[in-house]
Amino acid sequence: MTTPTTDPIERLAIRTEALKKSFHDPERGVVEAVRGVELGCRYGEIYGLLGPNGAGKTTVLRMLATILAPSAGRAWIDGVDVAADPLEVRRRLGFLSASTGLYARLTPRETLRYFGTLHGMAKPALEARIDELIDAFDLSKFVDQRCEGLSSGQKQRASIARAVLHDPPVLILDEPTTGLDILATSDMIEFLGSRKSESRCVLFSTHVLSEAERLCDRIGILHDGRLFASGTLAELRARTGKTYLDEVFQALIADAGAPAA
Amino acid sequence: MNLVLAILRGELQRLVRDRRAFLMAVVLPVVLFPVLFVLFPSFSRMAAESLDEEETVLWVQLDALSAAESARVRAALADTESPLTVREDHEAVRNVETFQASALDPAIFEEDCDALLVARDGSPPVLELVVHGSRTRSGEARRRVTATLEELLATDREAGLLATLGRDPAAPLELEAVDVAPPDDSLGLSIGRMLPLLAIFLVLSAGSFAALDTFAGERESGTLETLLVQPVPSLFLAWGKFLAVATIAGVAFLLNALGLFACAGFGLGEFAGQPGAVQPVRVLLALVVYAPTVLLLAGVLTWISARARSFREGQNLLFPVMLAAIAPASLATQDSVELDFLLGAIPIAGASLAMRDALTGALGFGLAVWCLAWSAGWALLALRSVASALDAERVLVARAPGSELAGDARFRRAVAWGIASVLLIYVVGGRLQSWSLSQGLAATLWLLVPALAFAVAFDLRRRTGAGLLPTLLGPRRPRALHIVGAALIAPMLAWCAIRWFTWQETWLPAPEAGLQDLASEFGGRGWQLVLLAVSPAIAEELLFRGSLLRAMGTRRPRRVVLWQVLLFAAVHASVHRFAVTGVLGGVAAAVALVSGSTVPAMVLHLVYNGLLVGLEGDLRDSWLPAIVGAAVLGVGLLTLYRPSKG
Amino acid sequence: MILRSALRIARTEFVASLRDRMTLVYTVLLPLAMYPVLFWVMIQGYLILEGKDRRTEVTVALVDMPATLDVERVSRALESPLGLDAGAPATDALLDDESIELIEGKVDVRRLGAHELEREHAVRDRDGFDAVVWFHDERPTELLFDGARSRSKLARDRVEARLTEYGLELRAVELERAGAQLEDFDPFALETVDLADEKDIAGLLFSLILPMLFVMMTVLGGFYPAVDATAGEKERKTAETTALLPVPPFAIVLGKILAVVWAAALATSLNVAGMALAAEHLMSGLGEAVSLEPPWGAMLRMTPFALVFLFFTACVLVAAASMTRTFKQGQSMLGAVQMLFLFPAIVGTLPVFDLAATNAWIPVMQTSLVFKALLQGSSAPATAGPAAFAIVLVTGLGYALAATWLAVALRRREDLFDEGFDPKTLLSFRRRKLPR
Repeated sequence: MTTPTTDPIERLAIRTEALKKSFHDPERGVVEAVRGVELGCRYGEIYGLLGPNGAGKTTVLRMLATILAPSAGRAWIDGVDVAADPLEVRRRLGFLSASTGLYARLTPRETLRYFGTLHGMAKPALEARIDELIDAFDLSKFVDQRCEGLSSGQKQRASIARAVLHDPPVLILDEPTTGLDILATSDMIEFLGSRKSESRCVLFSTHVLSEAERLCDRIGILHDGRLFASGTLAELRARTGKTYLDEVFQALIADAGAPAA
Repeated sequence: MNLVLAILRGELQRLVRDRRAFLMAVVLPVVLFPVLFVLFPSFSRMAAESLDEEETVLWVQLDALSAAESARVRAALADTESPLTVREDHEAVRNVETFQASALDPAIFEEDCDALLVARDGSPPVLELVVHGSRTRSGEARRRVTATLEELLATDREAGLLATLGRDPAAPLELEAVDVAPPDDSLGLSIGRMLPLLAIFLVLSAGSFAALDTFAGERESGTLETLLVQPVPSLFLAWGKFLAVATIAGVAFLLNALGLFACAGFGLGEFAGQPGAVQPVRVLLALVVYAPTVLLLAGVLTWISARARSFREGQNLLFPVMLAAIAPASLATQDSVELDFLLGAIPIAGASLAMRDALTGALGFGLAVWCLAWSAGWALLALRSVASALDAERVLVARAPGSELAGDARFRRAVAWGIASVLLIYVVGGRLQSWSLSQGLAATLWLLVPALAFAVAFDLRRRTGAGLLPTLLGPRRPRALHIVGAALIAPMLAWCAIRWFTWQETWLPAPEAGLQDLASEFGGRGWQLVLLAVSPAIAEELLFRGSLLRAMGTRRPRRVVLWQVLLFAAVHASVHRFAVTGVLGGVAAAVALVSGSTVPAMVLHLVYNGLLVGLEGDLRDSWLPAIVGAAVLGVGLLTLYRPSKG
Repeated sequence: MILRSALRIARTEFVASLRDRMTLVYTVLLPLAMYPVLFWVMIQGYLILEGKDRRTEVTVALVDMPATLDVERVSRALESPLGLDAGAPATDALLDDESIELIEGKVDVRRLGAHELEREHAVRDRDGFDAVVWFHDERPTELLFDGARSRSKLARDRVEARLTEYGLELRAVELERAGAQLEDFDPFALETVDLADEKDIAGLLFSLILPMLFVMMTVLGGFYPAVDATAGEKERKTAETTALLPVPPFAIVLGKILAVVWAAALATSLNVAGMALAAEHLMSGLGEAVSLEPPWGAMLRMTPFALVFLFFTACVLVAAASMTRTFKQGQSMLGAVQMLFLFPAIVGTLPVFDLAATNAWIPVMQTSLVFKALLQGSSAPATAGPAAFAIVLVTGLGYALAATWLAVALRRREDLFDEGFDPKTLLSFRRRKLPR
């Protein structure tokens, strides 16, 4: 097996190989949403996937999260093949997206309990873990209220607690800060930092450049279903000769747009 | 299994917590439907009784009768059970000589007059009862007067018979019907009549609430994605959700049924027989035979709501299901419908009838097992589709996955055209033929069907640029060998069709006239052949094996043949001819696919119909070797000379 | 000004709901396609059942048959509907008599003595007889059947029809021998003249079906648009935008109601059209020569009342749907709302009730009654005078306005705006109103 990246599979938390996905749309015929993405994220790293709307970010993340099956190519999470053993992948994965909701008629505690059961956690361990998360995310004030009455920040904290309930080595977040206020966003950012220090891998997509600039160890630029550039901010700056990320981004997109058209 | 149970628990917890919706969709129907079902019969009985007590006014003019007879009639009329006021001397009938009922102004019935009884001279004298049948009270008056007078006549006839013959020869044949059904059987029947329909309403009402909430609701709240990334196979998720739907629906049904039995037990409501309890064994058996049907309905609901993109869409999709389920369930309300092995195999219908019969104690062991097996089979079929309900690609993306290529869109469009054509032919053609059978048939075959064929062909040309003629007649020139081959298969098909009809008559007897009787309505043999053989062969083949078949494409021939079978059987719109026309459609489609031309299919159809019409179904068994031989040769000719690819 | 804003809102809502492909399919395409399919299923079901009925054989026992009856001929009369002595003049006369119904289907006849059969079990045993004709010397002949079994009832019907027929034949034949006729004994002949013409009968038939159908279709047709315009709006989060429009809440509510009226009118007319089309088809499919001309004149006169009812229904539906917050809550009300409308509508079609000043004020039932009266035309009872019609119109409008007021009041309540309806606060309209 030839691998484009130098790291061996075991050492990468997330890796993809020529990942492709096409849909059939009644109006437009076959749409290639993702056209061969090569991606690698290490443990203890925050990787930001940047791109305009419709670039294919959500599709890539959903394929990694085993929700969608790749049309071609392969992907591994924590060394496990996404297509071969999706259940094992899901055990090693936390997933959260902007559209993720909570069950309106359950309390956060009940929600955590429900998903913990689905993860097959034993009852005492689960309860201990829930208490731990209540402390960590400061849920104690509202943990026994129904979710329909919570503020968006409270909901977001409950959602994060839900995503890391089983302490996954890999966390995939699809535009996690969309729709959050400043306080909630900073909570989110703080949380991402903490994951990194626990040497977990975090892959997240965003179109807010400042977040990416502040948080990410490495950045990938996705446009029109292709990954055009990947590297640390410094590398991307050097490559484009621009200073600010938005300039870097625009320059890369412009480069990408030319051959794609 | 633990996982499925955990999901089930979570689902139920959430469903029950939406109190308002739960109340309205589950609790209210459980209470409301039986109340209405029980109340309404009492109400209409009360209405009928009060109609019975309504005062009606009859004006009589009996001068033409003898005094004694007139007195007898008056006495009888005065003695009716329902109030009937007899008055004399209405101004309209003062002069019997000139009185003409047909010339009467109907307005006289508007006030204080519901019927007129006028005696005229004659031997015997004629009593003319004048009424206005579309008026409630006048109709009621007619009923009362007619009954009284007919009783009078019957008494006199009886007396006359005895006087002339010394006895009434028909006396032993005057029957007094005695219902020997014990009260609990009758009670069971009166519950069993309404329970199947109630079950459908309740299961669908409660089940659709649950199904929509667990799928469409979850999709709308955005939790479905979260659920799909849990380390639980989507099959388990679907099962957990399905079980939640089935539980809610089942509990609603159970509560309702038990409520109904309790009502009957306490003598509430209008039930036949005496108030009393239905035997618990029967109740149990009824519930057991119906249980798989609850699962079937829950499965269908689950499948549909998993497909719906939103709550609203799901709601819309469920409406036809409701209608489709009510029809077979309402069979149980018809006392004359008897459960047998054929009906027992039909989903919902079999279980509904079995439930009714279980309650009357008439359900035999064999039929019970048969119905249970079939409805369990149907339920399993529905459950199989539940398994794919949570296919993440479809659920989340709401677009068909990429493996499905443009050909499928084209195929779907062709099938939609096919269904629309079938409906149009059924509605418009049926309408035309109800005016005049022969002219309507001619108009359908020569105008409507070809017009549809051209419409499909034009649509195909607009979409893919295919030429009109290659679409209608097939992309290749017809070969003589294919035509001969097709013609040679036809006798075999005709022979099979005739045998099939004979056999079908033993388990699905047709009440309608056969093809031959129909044919005789078209005049001479020549016309019959033109209308029933030549025209369908050309017109139907142009549409089905021409335009529609080419529009479907040739990429997956088996699927094309299958749809041709279904559409062609459907367009003939008769359950009794379904199998036979379906087979013809399938064979003709295969011929058209193999030969690449519509013409051999036309020839096949022509010879087939010609044989059925021309020989009046008289294909003798002694010809069988020749028929089989011709068919083998025909298949050989068709398959050996395959046009080269390209 | 209010009306103009209301109309504009109504138009937008209506067009928006028609743009939704599903709504279009379900209000326009489905009624036109569904009824033919439904009626086809009904025809085919009827044909299958009829075929099965004809094929069903029943076994009947004749117990203690008296010697005066000819066994052979009784059995023949029972075995098939045409088993009478064909050719005998009396039989031919009977067969020509249209009042005698020939019930098809085979009957298998056994003759037994009373000692061979237990009366209790004769038709109850599973392998017993479907019906038993038990002759007695002194008492009338009994026909034993089991009312809880369909086959037994089938046997009863066949035996009753055929033995009655045979009895008539016997009498006619013996009287003929004595040189007499049954009619000779009649003191008079009875003739009935019905002054109702075909139009009146059609009116009566339509008056039994149309009012209920109309009410049902209107409720079904208006329900989803109403939920969409209220709960749907809250769900789509456009409620705030609408609330901020510089028009009085009354105009907004009225606009929504008008949109619902249009949608319900469209759905109702299409449904009735589809059903009429299919019903005619059904009649021709069953080979019945029914010439039911729809009562166009009466339908024209029904229009104003129909419009008032449409408006009333739309108001009630919008008011009811205003109490809900989500589409789901809205839709879960459907069953209850339907029942509340249908019950009075059905009661109104019962023959005992006629439009009168005393009952013209009852909502929904009034519509049934008014339709019935108009369809029956000149046959309608005298109580259905102008006063009653006026009461229907005035009270119908009054109810509609009351429902509109309720909808406006509910709309102003801010607790409904984001939390939905709490039954406990229903009666406190003055609490927590939104600023005007």
